[in-house]
Amino acid sequence: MINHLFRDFLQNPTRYHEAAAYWVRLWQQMDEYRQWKHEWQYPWLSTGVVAGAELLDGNPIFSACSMSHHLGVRVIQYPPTSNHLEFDHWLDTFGGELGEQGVIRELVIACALSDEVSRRAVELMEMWCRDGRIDEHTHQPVIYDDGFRPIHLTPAMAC
Amino acid sequence: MVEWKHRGRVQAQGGGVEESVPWARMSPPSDNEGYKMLADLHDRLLPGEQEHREAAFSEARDFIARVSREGGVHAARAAVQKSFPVKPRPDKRRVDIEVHKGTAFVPESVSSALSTTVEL
Repeated sequence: MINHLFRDFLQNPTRYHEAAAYWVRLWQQMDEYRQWKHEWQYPWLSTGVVAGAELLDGNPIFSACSMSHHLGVRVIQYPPTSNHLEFDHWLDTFGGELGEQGVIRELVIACALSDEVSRRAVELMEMWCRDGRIDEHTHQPVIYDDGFRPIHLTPAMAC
Repeated sequence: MVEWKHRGRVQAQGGGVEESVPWARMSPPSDNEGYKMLADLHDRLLPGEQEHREAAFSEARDFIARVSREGGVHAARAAVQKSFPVKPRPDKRRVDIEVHKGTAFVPESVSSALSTTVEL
């Protein structure tokens, strides 16, 4: 059973800010020395300013960037749509295409926040900050059946 | 070289697709122009890919409608980068809206007035 966190974050600004602070705490738990050394900064991107205020839509709820390493992290949080794990990630570029000057390679995580999602997100963010890549062999994506129930892969199935 | 005041793009990615419709101009694009960009993007995809992304396109249109009602969205402190992934199936298919600089999706009436001012 998934323990969703801040499921009402879009309805209540106080809960929204608590959820945003939760992501900052997750980020701060990571290797402090490496973050300092690579000059990681947060927040990086904006949700957009509308009528003089930042949108509180969770898109993104957290972002960080290392300009010296041309790496970024962006987390999109949405309300849960099921009682199952909702977690996806992909790599993208910001500010142009790969190989162009000043382009940031970013890890994007899209999720409904839960205990398990927190664990996976930290694992991915650490890997990204440390290596600048995601090892898909050690971080298998969650595969869903037609009813959106997660299928737990055995090592044999994964091969 | 022209320094455009308003820059950005709408984009469809994931599932082997990478298509985008950019803008770079002196007046901010209106909400209707935003919808048109999304429609153009939609038209560039194969029917199957369009079908996969219907919900994501719908969310992107809702975003434009929402910010337009308040006068548009501004990339004030930093660039605006929004992704609308296909949920809950995690297949990385998505529609993105990026506002790199300036303002986007102002109401049509405001956009027309600004365009006239720029032309003058």
